[in-house]
Amino acid sequence: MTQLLADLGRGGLAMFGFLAECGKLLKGFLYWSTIAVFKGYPVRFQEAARQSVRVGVKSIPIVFLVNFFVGATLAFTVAEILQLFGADTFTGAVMGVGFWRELAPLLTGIIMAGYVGASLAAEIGTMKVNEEIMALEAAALNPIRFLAVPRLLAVMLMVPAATMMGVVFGIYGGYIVCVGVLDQTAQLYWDQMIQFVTRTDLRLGVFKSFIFATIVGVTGMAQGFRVRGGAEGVGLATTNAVVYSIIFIILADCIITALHFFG
Amino acid sequence: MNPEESREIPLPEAKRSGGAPQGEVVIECSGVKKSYGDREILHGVDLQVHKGETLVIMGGSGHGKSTLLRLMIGAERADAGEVKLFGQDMGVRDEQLLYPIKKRFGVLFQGSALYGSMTVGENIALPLREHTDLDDKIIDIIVGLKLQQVGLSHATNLMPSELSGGMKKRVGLARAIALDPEIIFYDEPGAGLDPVVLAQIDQLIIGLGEKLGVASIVVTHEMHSAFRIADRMVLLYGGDIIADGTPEEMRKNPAVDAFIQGRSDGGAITAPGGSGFVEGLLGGS
Repeated sequence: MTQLLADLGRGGLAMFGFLAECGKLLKGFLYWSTIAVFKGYPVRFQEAARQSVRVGVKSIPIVFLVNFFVGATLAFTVAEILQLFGADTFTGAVMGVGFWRELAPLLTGIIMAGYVGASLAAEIGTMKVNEEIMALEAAALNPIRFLAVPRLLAVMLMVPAATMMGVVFGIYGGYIVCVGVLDQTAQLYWDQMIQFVTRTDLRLGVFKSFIFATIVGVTGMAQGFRVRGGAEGVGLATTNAVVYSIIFIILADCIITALHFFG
Repeated sequence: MNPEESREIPLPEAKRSGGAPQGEVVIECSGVKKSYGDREILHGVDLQVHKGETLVIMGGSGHGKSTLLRLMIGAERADAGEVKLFGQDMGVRDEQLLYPIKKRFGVLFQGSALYGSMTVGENIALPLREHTDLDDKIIDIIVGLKLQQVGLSHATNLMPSELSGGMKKRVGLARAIALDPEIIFYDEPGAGLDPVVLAQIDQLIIGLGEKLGVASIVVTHEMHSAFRIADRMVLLYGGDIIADGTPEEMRKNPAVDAFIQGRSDGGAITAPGGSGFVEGLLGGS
């Protein structure tokens, strides 16, 4: 029992330490992307554009696959339950609200945690092991400005964009099932959706995707910057980046949804 | 014949006669202490480096050579004492205060530390693009000149992954001298290189010192290389400098001689640490 408590304490302290590193990275990002610009340190937008292609464009296939098939699966499940109450015509409404508010941001956030977060941790971690980070510092180039700012800008731009695409793919997956398999009319599907999806749903979805993007980017890079040792350290950082990102995303999702519910 | 004598290694002639260091002090370490956890790596190091001087820092693995170098370049902060470059304390918290100083030195890292996502030319151009207002065409010319200096004019568009170990070192050196620094730090420049390539790197280090008048601080345990390039040498043992002098003076120092020859008898020399001194120098062998 004592050992268990000691392990829990150590784990808690380690997590607290990591959160402090994430906070430091975020603070550095805010400084180098705003105040430092006026001190003659411009943001590297060209690098941010290059990273956007890597983060956004290349993730479209996996975002499509996951959201489309979850949309199709959900349409079957929702329609089956609603049929019990003779309300299966509301499937389009459930799909619209569900994907805007919850599913597209969450699914895309988790996909990005694996796709982008792991890649950021591995890339920065390898640079740390190869002394490239120290070389930047020795050359009077701040690694946060040089590496983190363009990457985080790219993630903050492209994850919400990918989420919006996820909404379209998911809703279209549901549309195929409702119209193609369950013999609902296309008109009914879209009418229900337009009637029930509100501006609040849209704002909530975009807000969540932005928060999840920040979590994925900051967690991935903070794991990369704390790498010690060689290949083993990089491997551990990559795994931790994915696991921590998913945990933080789900926690943040729960908190945001609860605040919205009671707010 | 004493078996130890049969293993003695003839060292090359020293670069020049050396003598007392002259000129402006560019690096000053006073009472520098550094610990990692409970283990104190540096116990209060005092050291000065003068303009144009080539100083070689020798010592066994784990005796504080690389730690001292990291303190000098501002990558870490000393726990006690001061490390000053051009009179600026490198231990200040505000990193931006160090930027003007960092632009005045270059570093060649042990593994070269080339940026893997950039070509050779982009690696060398980076400090020029970030720290000067030079036109791209001028930067391209400077990159060409730096690569010519290290004998790699043809390598501008190659990626670091396409280079051999020796080529990486030379590109790293070209990047280190991109801003025409007043000090160049070399961390184990000979690590992983064959003797021929190592001799080429040594010639580059000597040439840069003589042609550009830069101070060079070389951390190494390659003894042949050390004697070829040094104006002055220091030997770090257990976090203290136990020998400091010209190559000629160091040859006569029993502690240095034991280190050079890799002897593990331990009994022939008297030095801090008592028994096990040589074993310690040799990394516990």
